[in-house]
Parts: sequence; structure tokens; C-alpha cells
Amino acid sequence: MNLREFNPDGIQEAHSFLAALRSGEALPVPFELLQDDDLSSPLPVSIKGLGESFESRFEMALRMNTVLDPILDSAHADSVGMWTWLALLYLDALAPPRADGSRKIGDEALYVLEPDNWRRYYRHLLAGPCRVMRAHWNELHVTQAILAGKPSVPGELYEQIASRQEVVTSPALLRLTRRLYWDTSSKGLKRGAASKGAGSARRLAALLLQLDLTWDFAEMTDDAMINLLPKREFARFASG
Amino acid sequence: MSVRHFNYTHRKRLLHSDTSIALSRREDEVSFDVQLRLASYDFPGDARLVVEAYRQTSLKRFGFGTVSNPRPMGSTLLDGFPDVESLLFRVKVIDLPSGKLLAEADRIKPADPDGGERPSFLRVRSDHLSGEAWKLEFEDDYPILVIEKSYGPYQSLLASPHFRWLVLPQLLRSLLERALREDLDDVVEESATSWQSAVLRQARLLTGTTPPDEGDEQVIAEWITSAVRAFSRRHGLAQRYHADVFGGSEE
Repeated sequence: MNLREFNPDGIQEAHSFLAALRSGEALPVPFELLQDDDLSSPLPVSIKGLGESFESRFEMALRMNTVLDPILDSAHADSVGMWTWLALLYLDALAPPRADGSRKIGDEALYVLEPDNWRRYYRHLLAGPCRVMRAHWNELHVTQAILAGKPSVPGELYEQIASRQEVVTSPALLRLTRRLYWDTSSKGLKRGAASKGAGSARRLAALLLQLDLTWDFAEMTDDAMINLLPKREFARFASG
Repeated sequence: MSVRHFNYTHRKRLLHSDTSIALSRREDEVSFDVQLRLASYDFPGDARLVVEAYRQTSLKRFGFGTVSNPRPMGSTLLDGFPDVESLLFRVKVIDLPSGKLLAEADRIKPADPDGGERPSFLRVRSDHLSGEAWKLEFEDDYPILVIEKSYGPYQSLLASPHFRWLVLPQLLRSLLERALREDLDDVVEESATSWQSAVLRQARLLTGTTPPDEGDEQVIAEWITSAVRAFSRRHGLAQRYHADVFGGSEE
């Protein structure tokens, strides 16, 4: 199957479909809508390699970047029609059905890309993680911590880091978040990383924005960065 | 009552007017050139200069030598960005080896001399306009071209011939009307890099005459019309219209 891109009518239909889901209707993935030639047109990329589901946001972003590589550096990278089409195709991963078939549908920006609005762009459940990983492609392991978790749940760490442009664009700072919050043995986030308390991602993001006014982190070692953080507050995360 | 600010970081403010960044296009590649005026800042000569180009989650970092010897340390090619036109730049002066920022200028919009007819000072974004195709808005007195969101990526609309012959002349007219509504001396003296100065400079070049400084609305309207017509002629908008509507060559 080839990737497709909704036209304006298709995007309008997608909005209506999401509204129906939000009102509680139990609807499956809308394959008819996705294949309607009046609403979308094919792009020259096969999506066979994407698979049907994803274990984590990291895996999802990795597969998207690999399979969609031919178009992700083109103007299509910001195509509202393409990302909305993909979001509906992967609806079961992004908004899994409950026992009665209904789905929990969040804000529109989670499914319909808002490419020109930085404060909402990163929220798209597919394009956001895909873009974050692509920005750090040369050392993509640094995105492991912020792309942890299920595709349908961005999580507090992602929200705190990805919403701050100065932080999410910096490989050094993503390396720091991984060092602090990623548990290499359990391959998941350390307990407390996503809380609102001391040493949490929320506190780190706020501190980094302050420190960013004084320091250039790009060439700093992880230890040098950790030394800038309040020692007692981050000790339990920094120690391993 | 005035607000007193404390600069605990001792970081200096690097003025945008002391930085010039210009995009340079060659076939399909876009790179950039930088000129910095740092003599008055009293930075240590060995402080490191770094320029960062960024958009949303993407950032590229370019070494530019030291304060005493500013020069690109490698290629300044802006590859890997899907939309170079919306890039912003940041210039950093860094003390090494501490990594402390001595100065920074952020959100620098580059000049784009070969970037097509759209004025480089005009920001663009898409939004729901409920049937309206486009409109010009002013946010903090800065012009923003808003394009109906359901049309898809605005870049494709900007590149279309329809956009050029239908929208650009009216856009220029609206910008000139707004710029001339303000006191001309203030506009010129306040900042040579303001959007008002830029659009008036462009109109002056198009018409070969300076903007009227009298309050006669008829004279101002005629000057604006002559600038818009000269703009349309220069970019062959009538020919593009014929080619687009009736087919055939633009020549």
C-alpha cells in the first residue's frame, strides 16, 4: 500500500470523523475514507515497512523515519493531509478502542498536524516524535527517554521537553534527560521521572531554560551539565 | 514607574543591528553568509563564535571562529531543513573552556535576496479562515500573511502562479498603506531594518521616487499605485496571468 495525502475535503472529513469519535460513536479505522480517491491521492512511497502496530513511540518514530525517509526532507514533511491520513490509518495505535468500541479522543492537534504553530506542532502523535527523532538522527539513542511509552500516551517527559524548543533541539540536553531518566536495565523511565516533584522532568525543563541563558551546553560533558543542577534534588536520578 | 532590571548573568545583549545574515542560493542549495560588528563589545579575542540555524525541532550549529578571527569553520550549507524560508538564526559568543555565554542574539531573520518575490520581512502562517483564502494581519505591529489552513501546506500556495498574480500586488498595497500611515521620520530613524523601512525602500526602488511626506491622501494613494504597478510590471504578473488562465508561454 502506498502512502496517501488527504486533500482539503479529506481533511474536512477527518475533522468530522474525529468529532464523531469524540461524541462517543464506536467506529473502526475508516478504511473507506482513507482509500477514497476523491479525498486523497497517493504519494510515491510504500508504507509496507511501517507494520500494523508499535510497541513504543521510539519504535514508531524509528519506523516512520526509515520508511518515509524519501519525503521527510521535502515540503511533504509538513503536509497536513499526509500526517492526518497516517493518524487515521494508525487510529488503533493512537486511540485504542475501549471494550465498547468507543475511543478516547484528545485535542485535534494530536491527529491533525498544525505545521506552522510550533506550540502545537510537536503534539501530533506521529509527526511530533518522528520530527524529534529525525533532528537527532546521528545519535538517536538520546531520544529514548522522551520517546518512551505507548504511541497513544506522549507522557509528561515528552510534554515538558518537546514543548521547549531550546531544549528539544539540543543533543546535549536530550543526552542529559536520557542519562537522568532512562533506566537501561528495565528499558523504561525511572520511577518519579514523570512526576511533578523534586528532580522530575518538569523541574529539569524549567531549570534548563534558566541555565540556557547563561551556558552553551553543546560542547559540555554530561557530568559538567549535571554539576550545574541542584545536587540534592537530582541526586537520586543522577546516581544511576 | 520604570522597572529596574538586574543582569545577574553578566551576559551582553548582542544587537540584531550588529549581525547580518543573508541566505545565498545556488541551484538547489541554500547556504548563508554572516557579518558581525563586534568591535564595540569588548569581548575577549579568543571567545568562540557560533551560529545556530533552527526551525521547530531542527537545529544546525556552525562554528565561526573567534572574535578576533571570525570566519566560517566549514560549509554553511542549510541542508536537511524542509523549509529554509522560515529558518531563524542565533549568534552566540562563548567563553571557552567554561562554556559560559558572553552574548547572544536570537530570532534573527535572514535576508533572502534571491528568495523570490515574497518580501523577506513577511511572516506566513496558516489558520482557519472560514472560507477566506488569505488575509494580512498585524501582530505586535509586524505583518503576518495568514493563509486558509484547509489548503494544506502554505508553501505550495506561495509557489503557485495564482498566488503571485492575485495576491502579491494587493499585499504590497496593504503594506505600503500601513507603513505610510505612520510618521515617516519615525519609521526611517527608528530602525533601518524595520519592515516599514524595508517595504518603503522597495517601493522607492520600484518607483524611482521617495515616498510623499505630505498628508495629502490623494498624493499618497497615487504613489502607492505607481509602486504596485511597477512591481507587477517588473515581475511580469500580467503575462503570468495570461499564461496561467489562457495557457501558453509567459513570454
